[in-house]
Amino acid sequence: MVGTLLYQGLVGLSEAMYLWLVAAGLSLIFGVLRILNFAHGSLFMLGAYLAFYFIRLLGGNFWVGLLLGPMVVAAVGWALESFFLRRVYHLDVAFQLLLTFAFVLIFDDLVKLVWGPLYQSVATPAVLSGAVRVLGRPYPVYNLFILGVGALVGLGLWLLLEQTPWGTVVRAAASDRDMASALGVRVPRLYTAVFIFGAWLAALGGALSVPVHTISPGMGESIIIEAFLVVVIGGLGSLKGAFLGAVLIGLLHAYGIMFLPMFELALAYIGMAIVLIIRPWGMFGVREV
Amino acid sequence: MDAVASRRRWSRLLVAGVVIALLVLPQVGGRFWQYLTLNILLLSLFSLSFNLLFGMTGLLSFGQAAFYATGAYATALLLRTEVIPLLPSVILGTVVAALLAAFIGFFCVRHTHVYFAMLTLAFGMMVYAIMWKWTPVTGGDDGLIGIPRGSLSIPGLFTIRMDPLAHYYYFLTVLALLGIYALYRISRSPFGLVLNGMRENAGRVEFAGIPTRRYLWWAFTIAGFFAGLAGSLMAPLESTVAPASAHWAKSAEPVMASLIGGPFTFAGPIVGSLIYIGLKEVIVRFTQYWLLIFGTGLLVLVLGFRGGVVGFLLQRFARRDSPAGPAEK
Amino acid sequence: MAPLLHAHGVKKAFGKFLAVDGVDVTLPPGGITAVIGPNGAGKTTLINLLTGRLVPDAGRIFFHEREITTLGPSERVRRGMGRSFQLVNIFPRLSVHENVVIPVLAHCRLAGQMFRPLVGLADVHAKADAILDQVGLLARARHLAGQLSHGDQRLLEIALALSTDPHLLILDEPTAGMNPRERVQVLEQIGRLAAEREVTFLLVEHDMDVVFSLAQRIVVMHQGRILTEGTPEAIQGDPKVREVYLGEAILGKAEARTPAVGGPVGDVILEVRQMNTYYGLSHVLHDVSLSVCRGEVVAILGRNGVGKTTTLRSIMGLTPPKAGTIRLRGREVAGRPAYDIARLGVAYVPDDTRIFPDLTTLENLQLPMQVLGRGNGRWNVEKVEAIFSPLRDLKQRKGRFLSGGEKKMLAIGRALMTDPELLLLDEASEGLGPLLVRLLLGALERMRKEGVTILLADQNVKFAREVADRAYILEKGAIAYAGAMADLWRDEAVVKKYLAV
Repeated sequence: MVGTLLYQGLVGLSEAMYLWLVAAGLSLIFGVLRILNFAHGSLFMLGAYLAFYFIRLLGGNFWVGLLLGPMVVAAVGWALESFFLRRVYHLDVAFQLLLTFAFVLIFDDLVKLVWGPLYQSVATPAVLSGAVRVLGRPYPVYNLFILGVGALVGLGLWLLLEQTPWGTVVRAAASDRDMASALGVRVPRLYTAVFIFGAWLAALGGALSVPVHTISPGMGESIIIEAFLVVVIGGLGSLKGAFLGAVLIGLLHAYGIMFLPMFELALAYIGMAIVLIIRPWGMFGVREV
Repeated sequence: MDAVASRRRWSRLLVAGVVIALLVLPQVGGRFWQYLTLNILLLSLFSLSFNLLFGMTGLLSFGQAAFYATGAYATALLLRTEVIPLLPSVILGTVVAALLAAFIGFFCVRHTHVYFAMLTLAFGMMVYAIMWKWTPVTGGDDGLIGIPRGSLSIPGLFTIRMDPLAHYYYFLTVLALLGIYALYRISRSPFGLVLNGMRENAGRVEFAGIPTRRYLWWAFTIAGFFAGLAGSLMAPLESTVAPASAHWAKSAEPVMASLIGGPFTFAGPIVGSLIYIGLKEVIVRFTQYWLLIFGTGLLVLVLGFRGGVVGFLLQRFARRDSPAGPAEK
Repeated sequence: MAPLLHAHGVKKAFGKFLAVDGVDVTLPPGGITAVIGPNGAGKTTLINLLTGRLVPDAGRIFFHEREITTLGPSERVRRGMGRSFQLVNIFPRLSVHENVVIPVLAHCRLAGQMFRPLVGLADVHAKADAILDQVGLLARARHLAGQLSHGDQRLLEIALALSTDPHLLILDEPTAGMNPRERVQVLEQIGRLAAEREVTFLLVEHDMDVVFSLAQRIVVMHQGRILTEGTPEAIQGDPKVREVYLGEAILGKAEARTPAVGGPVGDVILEVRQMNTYYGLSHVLHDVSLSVCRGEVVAILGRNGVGKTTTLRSIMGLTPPKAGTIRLRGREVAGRPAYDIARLGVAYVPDDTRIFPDLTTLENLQLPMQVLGRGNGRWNVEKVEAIFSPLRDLKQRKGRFLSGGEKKMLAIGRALMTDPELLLLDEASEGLGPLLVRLLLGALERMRKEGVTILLADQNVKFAREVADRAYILEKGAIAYAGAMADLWRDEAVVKKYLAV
């Protein structure tokens, strides 16, 4: 019994990693730019589609797709921030939200236009296929890979923000943008850089999901809703919260399917409602939203 | 003051004209035009309920479709029993939607702006998930089909069957117009002014002696009520209800209609609904990628025309001293 | 006669900072009472506690003999308290009339009416018009509030506070940013209202002219406590009050300095001409002109609220001026973003230090290095630690856990790490004990020797006297005096007029 529970937990954890990548970018962007990017799920989707495109284009090489797809989406993120978002920073928050929402609509149809509405799929790369025995059950190697990537990203983000000079600048600008500016930080450039980075993270999540999930135009919307749940629970602007929130949701899904299949979907929402009552700003959230 | 009085007279004439046109339509227009008009009316009601929160109070809700769908499903279920007549079904369906809005509103109104928008989207999709998964009650992926329209009756006096489109047309039109009129009265009431104040400066309203959170909760519930009414009226019209009616894509419709028409006047969402449905009818004939077109349109509106069509026209032709907020039609 | 308002033992802390430290205040009904005190005295916090925006950590507040300590703002308003705000807090896109109707509706318990047409409530509209008439805004009733002049917006601000028929009206700097004509108008209104209606006024003000022309009673706050209270005459003659405004006496003597000259000499680093800055419509700085030469220490003096901080912020680009020029070594920088100005060699230390709370001391210090690529110029971490020795042991402590004095030192050190030509210091000595002040003075001398030019804004004249060569005095947003520091100090009339109470 314990073995089954642990195994199911591992399954949930690996699923949580995709969510973690998206939520990390979302939280980072909010923490620094104070903008909630509704289109973040679409960037995840674009990462998947573009990775798929490059894989097909270059004869099935997963790694090239994994490299190039997110890079192109990073460029899309650059364009989004520089040409559009920048124009609405001085406007009411509502219009900032509506702008990012407009891009959700645009990207959704754009992928349908280019790749059609049907589901696509790609095979798992040979080196990562197959399964290993974990707790007496076959556990896909790819899941281990994903767990590894997720942990690596977590470590990498921590190192980046806490130990590197650039990370210090980002943390400073996130807590006090005016004072950072008074010390010479070129804030507009920083905003663009953070947005590109956040977009890249989301796209990486999308690219990684390609071998084991079907790619469809609806994948953007489902992941953004889940990401919202994660940041409400973990706290908008907190990477720690994003990670724990993603893990929590992943586990809720995994155990939900096992014990309460009828209500599995509702569990995450109930979790969110509970957090909203006890800690309205999330587990690690900052109050000044 | 003469200019204002004459503008008011023209507005009244316009409204009277529109109402008359609506009532006369089934006599001169075929099914296509009746359906189109009813869809415009429903979207107008839906958009006005959204704009009560957005244009009037400054709250951007991405989840109004949850209440629209709840009204639709509740009414559909009641009608399918074939025991409860049409009018009570619609009313009860609307009330159920309002109760849901009161419940969800409790969580949402404690936050503002970003968190509020995010929460409404999340709760909206929660309702969508319930509609989609709760197959024994909601029919799951397929939804509910074959919803009878029942009849409008006062026992002992008369019974009118609502199956013929022309009959249901009048039923829907009258109720929708009543709903729109009620929203109009609210917008012109003290409560409406307080909501405008909260949009402008919520803190100041608190210091005027008004418990803002309670008022926000009321506004949210009322918006849910009228969204539910729109959904309740839709169910017998289409005779099917699907989970898609709770999806955020449906929530996006009143958002776009209000922005197209202009969120800062009462008539804006109505004008916007007309344009939105009209445009969609046309665009759909040329391409299936109408979301792309509307997304681009939304982009243009946000970047350049935040007052919408009505706002743009008012800027061109209005006087300097006309007050903003809910202006006269 | 029972007191209208009575607060007892009220305390409020923000983290480790005790903003209000055991305040007892009693307000009898009627008349105008003013609350004054230097920066950081706790006036605004006290007002927020009285009006319900903040909940006290300790103590109780009674209004009309009934306890209100934990009630929210809307409930206190309904019991008869009113408040106007320092920054204009109106409904910009509603008409002036509509602005006032909202609190009137609340007062008449009609705000929740959903189906009655607003236009039909004749009583409400009559009442609103009457209030507008009282403050003199009736002629502009149909205008959009956001389009009024600043003075009219302040009148509207007061009208809004009056509309709930308060017994106690708390006005927070009602004349801030006004020109003299508007100020006279507002003062007349307040005086009349106090006489005609039965409203008790509590006024927070920095403008001593306003205070002494209106108030019958003055309460002086200092460092979170009530220092003293009394009639205007008593306060003016009280040596404790003067001490508090001019600054604590400096223990010991600083190192001897070369005597200063009368006007600016040498290489002009900073030249400001006819600078005008606004906060929204509030005209805060009027044609401010000053200059600073290489190697000098120049002080900007004046009571709080006169515009010292705004001057420094305008120079730094954080609050860009609407008119005027700012030249840095001949180069025009007015309106440029703050990071450009920082990169041109200006560093700013705000009065609230604003160190980054989640970064360690070392990270705070190293930040400019990473941003500007400097740090091996004249200043590096070792040098900063040499002049601010307490920082040595605090390297790994996060900013939020530093004491006020430590934050001050860190903020200055961080600014030095940008290797500035010009250092802008805002209220450098505020909140520091005597030992730290001495350390700071020594540090300033070392900085000057290293070639850093300093422009400091301070309310503490005694502190400024120890370091500055020249001084400008600001009064109501305009330069009122310029000259050598030594001369200023000897001029009792100037000191009394602009710096004391």
